[in-house]
Amino acid sequence: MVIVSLLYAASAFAVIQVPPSQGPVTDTAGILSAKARQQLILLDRELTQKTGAQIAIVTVRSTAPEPIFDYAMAIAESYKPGAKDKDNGVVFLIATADRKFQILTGYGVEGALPDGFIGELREKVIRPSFRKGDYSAGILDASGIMAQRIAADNGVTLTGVPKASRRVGRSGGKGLGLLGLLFWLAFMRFGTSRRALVTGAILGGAVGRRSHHGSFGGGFGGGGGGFGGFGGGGFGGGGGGGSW
Amino acid sequence: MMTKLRNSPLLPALAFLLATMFSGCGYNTMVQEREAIDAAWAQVENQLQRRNDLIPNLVETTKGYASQEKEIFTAVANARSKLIGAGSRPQQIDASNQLTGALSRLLAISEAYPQLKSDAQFMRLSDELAGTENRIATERRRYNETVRTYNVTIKSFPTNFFAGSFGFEKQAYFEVPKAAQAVPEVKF
Repeated sequence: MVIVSLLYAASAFAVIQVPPSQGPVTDTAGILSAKARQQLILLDRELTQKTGAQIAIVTVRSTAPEPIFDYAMAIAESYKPGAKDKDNGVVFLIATADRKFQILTGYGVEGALPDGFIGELREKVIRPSFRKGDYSAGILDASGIMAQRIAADNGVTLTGVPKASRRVGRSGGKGLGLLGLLFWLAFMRFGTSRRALVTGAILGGAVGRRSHHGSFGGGFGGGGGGFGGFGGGGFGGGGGGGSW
Repeated sequence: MMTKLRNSPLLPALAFLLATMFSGCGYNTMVQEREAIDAAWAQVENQLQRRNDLIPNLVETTKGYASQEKEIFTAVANARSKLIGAGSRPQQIDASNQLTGALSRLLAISEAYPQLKSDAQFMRLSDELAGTENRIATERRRYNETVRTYNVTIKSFPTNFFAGSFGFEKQAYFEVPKAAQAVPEVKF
């Protein structure tokens, strides 16, 4: 007896290649200033420590041939920012040559960041900055405002919100005064050296040396606390985007 | 060897054992995969419902500036009630695609009404609608993935021998006509 097994090959959905994650900030388009990048990393760290939420910022030149939404979903499903049990991640994707951005909100932050609010961010914060070519300011401000809203939704406040002076919706963005800045610096340095005790044992004091130079911690996997990886949050396609 | 086995009294028992093993294994897989489809479809329905809930406000706001566009309002209302009344999945899919098309046209009329376009409420609702269309697209894709897995199973050996007799029919994909795939977007 001849057995013919008809195995239908699963024509899997075309896998969209996304850049490998470099931590909270994956700036493959190279549009962020070093300072903005550091501030974003610190912002994300504080947000994660206090709420478990994570914002993944990704910049690319173009998402072609994929629509930006599909590309952003591929990033969300590959990086999985946010805590697994809370689904409180955010993906903020910027495609510079396409002049488009997409923000995706995980299931758990849809309440703090409704789609209509993302639209408001686009109008009042992102588009004005991006049109001036100031990506760093637009990304920092928008991320700061989103982080604050997530924190407020969790009943906590963030001390390290860089520059979110513009008021959007109900989010009371507070400017960072000199006192706040000093406080923040002290906090970050303390955080760095404390963690260095642990990490230093493994890295042979490399991290500790860094903190003495006043560095705000290294980047992904570097000193200053590092990045613990994304938490496995789920996304349903909510959020918003637009062009500039 | 073969003759020996053919004459063996063990053969019927062996055949029965193999059959139950195959059907048992395949059956459970088919049940699980069909349940995954139903779960994924429930997510699709949640998002279709979310969109249906958004529509009355969106239509009201639009009417405030463009009350003469009666034909589009009628098209949206018809598609919406068709979706609410749809029984089977293919009917729901068909009605949903029709509604997506009608909503695209509704958003498109804002181009002709600058005041509507700059209305904060309209802006918020069209952003909510765009987000909901994206959620539908996401759940649609996940639903289709579960259907694909299941359809492969029922066509594969050995489950294909049992699928039909146990009532495991091929399930329909949620297909969207190419023209309707673009998420409606208002260029503010």
